Amino acid sequence: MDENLLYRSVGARIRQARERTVPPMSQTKLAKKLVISRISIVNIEAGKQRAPLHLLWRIAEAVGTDLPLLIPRQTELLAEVAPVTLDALTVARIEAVATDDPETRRQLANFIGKVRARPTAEEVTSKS
Amino acid sequence: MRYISKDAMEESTWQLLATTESARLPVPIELVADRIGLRVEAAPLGSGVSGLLVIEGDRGTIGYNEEHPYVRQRFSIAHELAHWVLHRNDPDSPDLFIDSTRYVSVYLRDEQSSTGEKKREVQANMFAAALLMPERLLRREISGPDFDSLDEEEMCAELATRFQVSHQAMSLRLATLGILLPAESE
Repeated sequence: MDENLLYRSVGARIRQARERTVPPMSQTKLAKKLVISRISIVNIEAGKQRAPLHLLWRIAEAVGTDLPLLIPRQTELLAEVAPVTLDALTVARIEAVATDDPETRRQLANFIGKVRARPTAEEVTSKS
Repeated sequence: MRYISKDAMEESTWQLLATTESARLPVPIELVADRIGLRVEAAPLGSGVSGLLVIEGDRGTIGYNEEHPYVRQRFSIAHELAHWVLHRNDPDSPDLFIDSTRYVSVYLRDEQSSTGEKKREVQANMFAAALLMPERLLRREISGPDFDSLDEEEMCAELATRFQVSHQAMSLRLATLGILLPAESE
């Protein structure tokens, strides 16, 4: 398993949850709430610092979410580098929405391809 | 395509909130999705796309536009969740829903297939509105003392903040429920 990827992914979710509070909570404010330094928050969100479980739990609480939502599923991490292939029907559906916008077309194809390339829960279990 | 009455829609969204222990303000829509086994992810989708639902058998993944305003993202998630709950078992339903901000042009292109699709979109919007703005919670909020001195406009704005939805979505919902009259312009 790519541990750096895991911590980057958790960090990105923390950042997203923090920015979603109403009003959006600053890194400074979150740091104060947790009685840790702002630099720690910066590094945790960037995946450069590995927060222990109890801190993650408190972060989740502070930004008003549940801890499981800050942690990616196994299948999500495994799919990060999978190639994209799509069937004709999917391509047609993307085309109907994207019309003349190549950027939208590319982004939709990426997302759908990434999701479909993910192994199922059973596949993950049998691999490990 | 099944017809679903307005009352049935209110009831089933309320049941969903109850079983996922999410009947609170603002409705934790990502938690609802998580608890019924859906994945939810922010993604770059192009400005014309608000959200999509990818169905693979019993797995469902919702993607929403990472650049849209938060209240819009919440509605997009609720809308895709609605497709999952209402439409995934329809024999004529696709296994991929892409919801763009330009529905109309998409529909006009193919009259034949558009009827079922359009109905599904209307249902998904109704379901999403009922899920994010449950009638019971709305009426409970309105009956509180804070609303006595507010005019309709201020009331709508305050409710939109409490429920974390757009002003437009709240205004439409209040009109649908007969709580406020529809806005004159627009």
